[in-house]
Amino acid sequence: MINLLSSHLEDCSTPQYFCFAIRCEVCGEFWYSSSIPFSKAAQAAEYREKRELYDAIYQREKQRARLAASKEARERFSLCPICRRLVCDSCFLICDEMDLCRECAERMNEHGEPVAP
Amino acid sequence: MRIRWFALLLLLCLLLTGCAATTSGGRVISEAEHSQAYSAALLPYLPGYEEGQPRDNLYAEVTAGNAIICFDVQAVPAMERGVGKYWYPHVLSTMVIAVDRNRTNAAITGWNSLWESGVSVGIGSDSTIRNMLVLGSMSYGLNNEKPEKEDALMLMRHLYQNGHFSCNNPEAPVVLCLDYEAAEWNRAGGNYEIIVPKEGTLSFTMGLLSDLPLTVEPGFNKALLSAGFPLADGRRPEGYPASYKSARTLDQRDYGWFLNIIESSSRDLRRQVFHTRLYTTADLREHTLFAIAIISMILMWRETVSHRMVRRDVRQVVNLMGWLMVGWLMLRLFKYQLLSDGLLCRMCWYGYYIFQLALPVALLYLSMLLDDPKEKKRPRHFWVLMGCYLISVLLVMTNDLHQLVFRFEPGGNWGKDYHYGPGYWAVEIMAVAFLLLAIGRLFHKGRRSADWGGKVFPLLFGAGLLAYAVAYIYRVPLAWESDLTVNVCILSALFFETALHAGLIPVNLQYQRLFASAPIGLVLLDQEGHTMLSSGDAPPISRSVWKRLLTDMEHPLLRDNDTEYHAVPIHGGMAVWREDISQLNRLQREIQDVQTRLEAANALLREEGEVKKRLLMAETSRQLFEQLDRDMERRVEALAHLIETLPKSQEHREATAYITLCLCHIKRRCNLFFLVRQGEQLLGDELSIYLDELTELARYAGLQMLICCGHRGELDVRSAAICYDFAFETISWALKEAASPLMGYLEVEGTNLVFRFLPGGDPMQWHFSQELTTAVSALGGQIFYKDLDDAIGVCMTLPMGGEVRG
Repeated sequence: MINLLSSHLEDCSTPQYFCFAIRCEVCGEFWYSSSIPFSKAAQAAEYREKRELYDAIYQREKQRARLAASKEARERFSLCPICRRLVCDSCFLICDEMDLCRECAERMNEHGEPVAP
Repeated sequence: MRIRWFALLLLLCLLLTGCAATTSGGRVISEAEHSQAYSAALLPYLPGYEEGQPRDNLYAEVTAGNAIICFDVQAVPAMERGVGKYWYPHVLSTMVIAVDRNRTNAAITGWNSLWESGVSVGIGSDSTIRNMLVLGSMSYGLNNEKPEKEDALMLMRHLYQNGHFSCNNPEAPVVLCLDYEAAEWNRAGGNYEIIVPKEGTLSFTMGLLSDLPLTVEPGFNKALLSAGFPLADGRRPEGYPASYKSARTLDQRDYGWFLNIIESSSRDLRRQVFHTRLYTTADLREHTLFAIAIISMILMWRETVSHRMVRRDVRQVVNLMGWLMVGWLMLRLFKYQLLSDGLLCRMCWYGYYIFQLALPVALLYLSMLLDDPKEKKRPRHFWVLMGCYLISVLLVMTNDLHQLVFRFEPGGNWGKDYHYGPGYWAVEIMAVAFLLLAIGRLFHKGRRSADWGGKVFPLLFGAGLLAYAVAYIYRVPLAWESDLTVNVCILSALFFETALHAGLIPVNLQYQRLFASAPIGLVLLDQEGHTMLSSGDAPPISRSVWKRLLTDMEHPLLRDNDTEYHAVPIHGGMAVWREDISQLNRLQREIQDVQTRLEAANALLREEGEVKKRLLMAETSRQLFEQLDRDMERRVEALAHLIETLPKSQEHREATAYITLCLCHIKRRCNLFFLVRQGEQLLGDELSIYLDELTELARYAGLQMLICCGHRGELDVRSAAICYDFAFETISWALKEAASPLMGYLEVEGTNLVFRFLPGGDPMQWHFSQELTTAVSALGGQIFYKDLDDAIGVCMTLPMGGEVRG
């Protein structure tokens, strides 16, 4: 699941902070991960060597932020067992027999409550 | 916000702690009724103690190390709650009916005989403890088995309704008092019959309550008897009734029901007996709780009004008015905590006018602010208002010095027995004038408002406020027995609120509804990300979106593919709105489609161009070769004819040379044909080589000739081709006519290129081809013959550059 989420993450990061987004494939709304500031954002890199070092740190922190965003997204997104789409908690229904996304539930005439109303 | 919390904290402190006095030891403080004689008898036998005035309540004074003179009904419950460790009972006092036989002969034997006695009955004072003792004793007397205060209240109500009952009236013919008080009056010359009610009454022990052990020196009991006090062991001096059979001395088991009966005695007397304070607070507990409730309500009301105000300066005045009311109520609350009617208590009373007089001034100031639609520093008459207010307050606060505002006896009961002086009327007239002026201005400003029905309410509350103030001043019972502070604050708040609703003061009452109805897609969030205001079409902002916007508001955020969030920081949070970018997306998609189609069309056109180019090249090549064929057709035909006739020729060598000459001419002419098409220049040297080549071949054909090219520079290739053709045809005619030798010279004369031939025969019969002469004419040149006396030359001139005619 983490890998799946990670592959769906869209990078919204800037040189100042790291932020990732995932789009719910049912309602189309974006969910944004908590922004994590880049540790060296406030420091200027005057020399090429330093810039390269900062770039390396930036990439390393970005990887960590991506992993954290995936973990955060795991709490808010689910994989529909029918259509295999990533859906947000508002579009994922807890049904009697099987938890489904809203569209699949409608197709199968199942009733349920959303995870997050 | 901080001020509000501070005010609430202060309020709680006042409520919980009261006015804490400084701790001091060694004082004897009286909390019992009429105990001065007892105190005077005690002090000589209690060394180290001196008489003192109460600074705080009984519990605080005991805790402070003082010895308190009180009754057992006060001391025992206090000790049960841990206040006071030592109780020293000395005097046994009994609640009796003292009948002044100088004024009435009514037959009174007990409580029930009061029902029909028709004589005025009074209670010695209106203190709380006195009310408690009377109520408890009478209740017990009327029902020994199950004492209830309703019985006593009913008797008192009956007496009051018949005009025979009053509190604080020791001058009445029948007084409900303690037996030692009546005995003292008798010792002072009175003629009171001390009646122990036959139905029953209660005896209370008076003594000392202390946290410290007290040592009363021997002889104190004797001193008490000498002073006229009955002792706790039952011994009584002369002047007391002989029998106390019906009197019951309270013991440990009795305090419970007794305290239940006397609870809220002052309130019950006021409401159920005297029918006063029915709609306002009647005792200290109610005063305190009601004041806190009103303060809380005013603070909340002030907050709501503050939120509804559009203008900052108006909001400040409204806030000030709210705080004035809160300050007034808090000062009143503070005054209720004071135990003695001293200077501080009086200054608190004067202090009420700091707030009371400021309210109409603030309202008038507010009406002045509303005159100017813009926020200005201060209205023109601000300092006049302030001056009037300050003078009024100063006049009231210094009343002790001049007594111009309130007139009373400084040592008397100034809280009730006071009169109004001219200063008071001046101050009140000024306040009423300010109030009327403010109301008038507000109504004048709001005259265009169509809500005439709504204007009735502020008018009613304004009139009610004035009527209430007048009634209070003239001590109309309903107003006089009510709480001025609370009522004025409530009426003021109601007036202001209805004025807001009537549109007399501009507010943004419908702001939220307008905001919710506006199709602007805007949401206002507080610092915690909670939605404070939201327009109807705005979707809720999720937590993740809020956190991301909080981090970076400069960059918009996608909600979905067609909606974008924008945010700006505002005071206390942020404003978030959405923008529909579906049109932009559609345009972008259309542009991408157009771009794709254009790229495909371009590729098609490019391919078509390539094909056309190839076709054109093929066509051009075909046309070129056709033209070449046409150019060379005559020459090739002549050459073919020569080749055909070659076997028949007798001069085989010359004919072969001529054929070679023709072949050479055709070859070079083809070269020149292509050079003409390329539009390139030809050097005179190269033309000279071509001519030398012709010359060489002509020699093989038997013609002695020489051609010299005097021009080495570049030549127009068309001119060069014509020169070459001219040379070939001249050589051909010379071979045909055997006009050997032949000399030719090509040179530039002025702007013309001149090619001269001097043959060995007569060239007049030579006929140059139509094709050559046409080409020469087209370039503006000519071919002519020139007689040179002994010879005739052929000359061709061409302008340099080769102008084309026609």
